[in-house]
Amino acid sequence: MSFRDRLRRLRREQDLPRGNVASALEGTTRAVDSPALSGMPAHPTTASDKPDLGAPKALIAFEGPGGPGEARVTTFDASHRHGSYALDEVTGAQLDDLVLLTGDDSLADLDLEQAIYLDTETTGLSGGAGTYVFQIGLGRFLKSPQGPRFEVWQGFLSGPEGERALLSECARRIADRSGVVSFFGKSFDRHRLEDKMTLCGVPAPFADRPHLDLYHPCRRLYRGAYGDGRLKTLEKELCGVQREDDLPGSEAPEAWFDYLAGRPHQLEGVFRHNLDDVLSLVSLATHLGHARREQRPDGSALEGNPRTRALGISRSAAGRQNRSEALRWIERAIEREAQPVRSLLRERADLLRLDGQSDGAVLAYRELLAAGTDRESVPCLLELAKLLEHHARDLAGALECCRCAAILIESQHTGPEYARLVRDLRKRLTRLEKKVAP
Amino acid sequence: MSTHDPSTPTPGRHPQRSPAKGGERLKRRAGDAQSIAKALREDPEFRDALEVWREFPARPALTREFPTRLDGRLLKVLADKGITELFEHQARAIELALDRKDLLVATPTASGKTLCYSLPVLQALLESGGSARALFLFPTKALSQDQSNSLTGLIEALGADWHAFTYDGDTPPSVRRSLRDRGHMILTNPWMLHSGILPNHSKWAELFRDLRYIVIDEVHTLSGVFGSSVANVLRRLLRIAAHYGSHPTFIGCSATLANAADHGEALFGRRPMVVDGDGSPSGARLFTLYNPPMLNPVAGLRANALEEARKLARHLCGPQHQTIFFCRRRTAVEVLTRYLRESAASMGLKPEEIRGYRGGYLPLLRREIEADLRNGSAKVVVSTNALELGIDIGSLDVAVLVGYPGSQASFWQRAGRVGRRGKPSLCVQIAQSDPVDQYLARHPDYLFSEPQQKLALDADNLVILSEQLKCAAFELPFQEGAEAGSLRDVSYGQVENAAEVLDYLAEESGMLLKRAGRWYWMADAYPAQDVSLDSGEADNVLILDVQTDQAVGEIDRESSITTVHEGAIYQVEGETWIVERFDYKNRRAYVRLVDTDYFTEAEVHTEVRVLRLELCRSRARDVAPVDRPVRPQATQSLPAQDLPAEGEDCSVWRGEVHVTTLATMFKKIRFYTRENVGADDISLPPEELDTDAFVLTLSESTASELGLHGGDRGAAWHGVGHLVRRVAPLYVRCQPNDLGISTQVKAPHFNCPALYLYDRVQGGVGLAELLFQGYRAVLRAALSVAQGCACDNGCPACVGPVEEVGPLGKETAIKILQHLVSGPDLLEAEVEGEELVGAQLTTDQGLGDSLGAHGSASTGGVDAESGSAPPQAGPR
Repeated sequence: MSFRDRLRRLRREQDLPRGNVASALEGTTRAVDSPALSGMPAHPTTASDKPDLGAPKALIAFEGPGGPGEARVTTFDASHRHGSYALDEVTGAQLDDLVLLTGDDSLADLDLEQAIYLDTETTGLSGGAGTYVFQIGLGRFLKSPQGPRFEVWQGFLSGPEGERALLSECARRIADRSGVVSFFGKSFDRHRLEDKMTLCGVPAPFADRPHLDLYHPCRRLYRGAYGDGRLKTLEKELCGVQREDDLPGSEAPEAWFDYLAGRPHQLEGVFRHNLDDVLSLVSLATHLGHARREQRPDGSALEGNPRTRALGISRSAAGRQNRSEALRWIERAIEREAQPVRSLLRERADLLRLDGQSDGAVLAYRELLAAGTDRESVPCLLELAKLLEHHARDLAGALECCRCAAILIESQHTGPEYARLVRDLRKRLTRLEKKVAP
Repeated sequence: MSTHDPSTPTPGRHPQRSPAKGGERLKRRAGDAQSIAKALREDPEFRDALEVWREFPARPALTREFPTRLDGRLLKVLADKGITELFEHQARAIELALDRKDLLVATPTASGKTLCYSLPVLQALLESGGSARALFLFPTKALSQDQSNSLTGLIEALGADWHAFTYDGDTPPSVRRSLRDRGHMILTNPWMLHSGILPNHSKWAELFRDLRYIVIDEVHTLSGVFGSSVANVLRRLLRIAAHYGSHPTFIGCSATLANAADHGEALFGRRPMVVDGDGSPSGARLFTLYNPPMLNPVAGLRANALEEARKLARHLCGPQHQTIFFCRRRTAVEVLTRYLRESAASMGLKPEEIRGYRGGYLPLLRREIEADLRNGSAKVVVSTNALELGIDIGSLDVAVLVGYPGSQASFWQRAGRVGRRGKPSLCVQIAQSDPVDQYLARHPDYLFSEPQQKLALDADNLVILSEQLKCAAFELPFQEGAEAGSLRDVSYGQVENAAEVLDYLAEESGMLLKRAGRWYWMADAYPAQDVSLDSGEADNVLILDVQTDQAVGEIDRESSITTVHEGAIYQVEGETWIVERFDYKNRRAYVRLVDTDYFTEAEVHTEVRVLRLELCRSRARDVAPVDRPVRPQATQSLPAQDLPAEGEDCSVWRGEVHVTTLATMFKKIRFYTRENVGADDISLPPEELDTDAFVLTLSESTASELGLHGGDRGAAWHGVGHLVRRVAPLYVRCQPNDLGISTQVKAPHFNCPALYLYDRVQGGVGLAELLFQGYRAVLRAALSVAQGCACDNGCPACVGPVEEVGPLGKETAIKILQHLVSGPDLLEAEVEGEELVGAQLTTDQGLGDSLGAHGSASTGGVDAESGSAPPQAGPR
C-alpha cells in the first residue's frame, strides 16, 4: 500500500475519488462525513455555467522596490462619469462635512486630489497569515499633457511567490500620496495589508496618513434606508452606479484559486469588480462631501434618503458636541417626516435641554408627550418635571408630570430597568407634594 | 544552612497559626503526623485494613549559591524577599537556561519551579535592555493568572517598565493590541497559541523578534492526542520564531517522569537536559495504605472508599493541622465535604473550616479557599485534581488519596502537597476495588520506586501531523529541500513523511498549491479553527440535554456507539442521563436526566484485522530461540498470515491494525448487585479504526497445555485481556479507556490465540509501542492482581466477573499469565516485511461472527478532571 493510500485511509478519505478529493465536494454543502474536510469550503466551487474569461489581459510588468511584479493600469479622463458623478467633481467635496461625519479631525488635512483610493481583493475575510491579498487597486489623480487623468493601478499577485514585490510596490505608491480613501479599509484592507507587510518585511505606510473610510459615515447617514450597507448598494442608491455582470466579491477567492491551479476561471471578473470598486470610492466621497449642502455639484438635489441623512448629520454633530448644528439638522429630520416621530422629538428635546435652552426644551418635551405616551415616556416626563420644577418654577406642572409617570409605570408592566426610575420618581413625588402642600 | 524556603518568594506565606480557638480543643487533639499515625494503628476498627506502612526520614535542603551570571539587581530583589541562595536543582536549571540549553525540570510539586524559569527570563530582559521576550504555556487559566501575578511582582520589585500579560479567551479584544505590542512575557495556553497567536503571527511580530524562552509548565499533562498535537504546535512556533529571526530555548517543568528526556524530546523536537533530584527540604514522611474490607468476595466488592474516608477522618482531621482529601470525581468532593462538615464538631472543627475545591467553582471563591489554606484558617480541604497542579496553597500536613489517582505523577503531585515545612507529614492512600488499586496494595513500593509510567506521544501520527501541517502551511509556506521529497524547514525538515503529506494536501485535498518548490496555503479558510488539539479527529459526539439544549458532555467517535446509543444510561459525575435520541449523522446525542437504579453495558463485536506487523519478539517452547520459518504462501481466504513457527511458545508484536467495532445489544445492569434487569438491541453502523496495536500470541500447543480449551477458552483468554488492559496504566500513562482490547482464540492472521491491545486513536499515539517495550512488567502486574484477588472465581477487580469468564476462567487466566511471566525473555524475531493490506480492506466487509471477538463496554462514568488531556473546550 502506498503512503498516500495509507494517509487517505487514516484521514478517512478513502471513499473519495482519487486525484482530487475536493472535486467530490462540488455542488454539495458537506458531502462527506470526513473530519478532515468538514469545515472546509467546498472547493473548487466556480460555477460551470459561467464562461471562462481567460487569462487577465493587458498586464504590464513593473519593477518595484521588492522586485518585479505585474499590474494593469487603466486611465480615465478626470471628467469621466462613474454613475452620476464626474470623477473630478470630488474636488468640490467639503472636508468639513467629512470631518463631521467621520469624527476624524485628521481629515481636515486630506487632499482628495492627492489621496490614493484603495480597494483590495483577498482570499478570505478571516485574516491570518494564510490569507492572501491578491489584488490591490490603487486609484489616483494625475496631471498629464492631455489634461487631468484618473489612473487605476491594479497590482496583481500572479503567484504567491510574488507577495513581497506586490506589497512593496503598493507601499511605495501609498507612501507617495498624502492620504487614503477606502470603503471599510480601516477595519479590513489596512490590516490585511499591514499583516502581510510585516510578514514580508515591508514597512507599512498607513500610520500618520489621513484615512477616509467611507463605510462608517455612509452607515451613519443612511442606516435603515439601505439595509445591508454594502458598497454595491450604496453606490447604486447614492451615485447612480449600475454595474453589469459584476462578479460578487465572495467569488473572488475561488477565481484566483482556479487561475493558479490552471482551471477555468473568472479572474477577469475580479479585475472589473475591483476597478468599479475603486471608481465608486471617488463617487461616494464626492457624495459625502456634499452631504450638508444636500446639492449635487450641478445644483440638483443630492441622492439618498433625506430623512435618515438629516438625522445622521444631527447625530454626528451631537457626537462632536456641536449642538447648534445638531439641532438644525434634527429640526430638518422632524420636518421631513410626514407624521411626528417620537424618537426624533425626543432627540430634539434632549438636545435643547443639554444645550441649556430650557424654554425650548419644555416646549419640545410637551410636543413629544402630545404625540403619545407609553412607558417610554416616563424618562421624558421626569426630565420635563425637573425643568418645570427648577427652571419654570411650575410646581403644579411638575407634579402633574410625575403623577402621569406614576400612572404609566403602574399601568404597564415594566422591567427591572425601571426600578431606578421608580425610586427617582417616588423621591420627586414626595418632595413635590411636600412643596406644593401649604 | 539557611532557614529560608526558596520556593516561597512571598514573605509571610506561613504566618503563625491563628490563636487556638479554645484550650480544650488544643489539648484534645494532637496535630502531628506521628500521633495521628499512632492513633490509627491503635484503632481496632482500622488497624487491620492499614495493610502497608512506610516511613521516610526528613531530608534537608540541598542549596547552592546563585549562579554568578545573575544580575546584581535581581539578587537584591530576591534578597529582599528573603531568598539568599537556591536549591541545588534550581541552580542547575538556571545555569542551563542561561546557557540557552533546552531543559526539563522534573521535580515534584512545590519544589520551587517558578524560580527556575522566572530568573533566566528576567536575566535575559536585564541583559537585553528589555528587548527579550518569553512565552509561557500553562494548562489552565488559573495557573497563568497565578504566575502572571508573581512575575509582575518581581518586575515591580526590579522597578522595570516591563509587562507580564495573560492572553486567553477572557482577554478583551480592546487590550489585545497593547498586550501584543507591549508584553514582554506572554502567559497563555496551547489552545490560544494554536488558534489565536500563530495564525496571526504578524500581529505578534514584537513577541517573535527576540523570543528567548518558551516556558512550558506541567509538561507531564502533555501526552496522548493532546500532547502529540501540542508537540506540533511547538514545531509551528519554532518555524514562526525562526521566520522573525529568533531561536528560543525551551524550559519545561513537569512532575517526575520515567522517560523525561525522551518525552521532552518528543515534545520539543530537541532533546532537553533533564534536571531532577529535588533539592528542596522535606520533613519526615509517613505513608500508609488503607485497603477497605472485602464485603462480597463473589463480586470482589470492597467497602466504599469514600465512606471509609469519612470514617478515617475522625483521626485524620483536627484543629491543629491541615488535611487535604483528593477525590477522583467532582461529585465525590461535594459528598465528602458535606459528610465532613456534618461531623465537624466531633473532629474539633467548625464546619466553615472544611472546604471543598474543584473545577467549576468561581475563580473568586477558588482564590479565597487558596488564601485560607495558605494562612491556615482552612483546616480541611476536599479537592479533585484541581489542586494537583501548581496552585500555591502552602504546605499541608495530611494528604488522603481516596482512590489511586491513576498515575504515579499524579500520586506524587498529590502527596507533595504535604510535608514541605520540615514537619513530619502523613499520606494515606485508600484503595478502591480496582485492579490497579489492588496491585498497589500488594506492591506499594511501586509508588516509591523510580517513575515507572511512560508518557506516550507521537507527534508524527499521520492524522495529527497532516492536520497540523495544514495550520503550519497557513502560517508560512513550506520550502522544498535539495533532495526530492525533503523539506527545508527548521521544524518539519526532519519529520518523516512531511513532504509527502504536503503533496497529498496539495494534490488530493486541494488546500495547498505547490509552485516552484514551495507549498502555499490556498483555500478560503482558517484551518486552526477546525483543528482540535484534544481529539485527533473533529467528529466527537456532543451530548445535549433535550430540555435545555445545553451540552452535558462530549464523547469520541468510537465510544459513541457503546455509550450514547438510544436507551443507554450516560453517567456524568454520579448523575444518570438516559439517551433518548442519537443523531448519528450529525454527531449529537440527546439525553434526559433520570433517576435510575441501573446502568447499561453494550455488547460489542470487535474485529481486529492485522494490516502490517513491524516488530516481533518470540520464544520457543524449549529454551533455545527458534528460527522463524518462511510463512506459508497466502491462501485465498487468508491473504497473509504470520503463523506460529514450529516449536514456538509465544510472541509479542507491534503493528498496524484495522478495528471494526459493532455494537449489537445492551444490557441493563443494576448498580451494586450487577443484576441483569433487561436488554435491548442497538442498531448503529460499525466504527472503523486504523491504529497501532500490541499483540500477544500463544502457539496452539502452549494454549492447549495451559488449558485454553473447552467452552471457556475464549472467556479465560478474554479475562487475561481485560485485566492486562486495566493494569497497563501502571506502566503507560493513560486511562484504561484509551486502550481497546480484543481477544481471538483462533486469530485468522496467526491461526492461534491472539490478544490485541490497541491505541484508541486513529493512527495511534504511541501506546502500542510503550506496551511492546514494557509488556512483561504489565503481565507481571496482571498476574499479581489475579493471584492476590480475594474473590473466588473472578470479579471485576481482577479478570472479570464469573458470569463473563466462566467458572474456570480465573484459574486458567492465572495459569496463562504465570506461564508468560516465567521462563526466558522473548527475543527479537524477524517480521515478514510484506504489506498486508490492499484493496481487500474495505469498510463494507461483514463481521466475522465466529471469529469476531466479543467484549463489552460499560457506560461507566467519566473520571472527572483526572484525564491526562484537559477537557475539549479548554481554557479559551
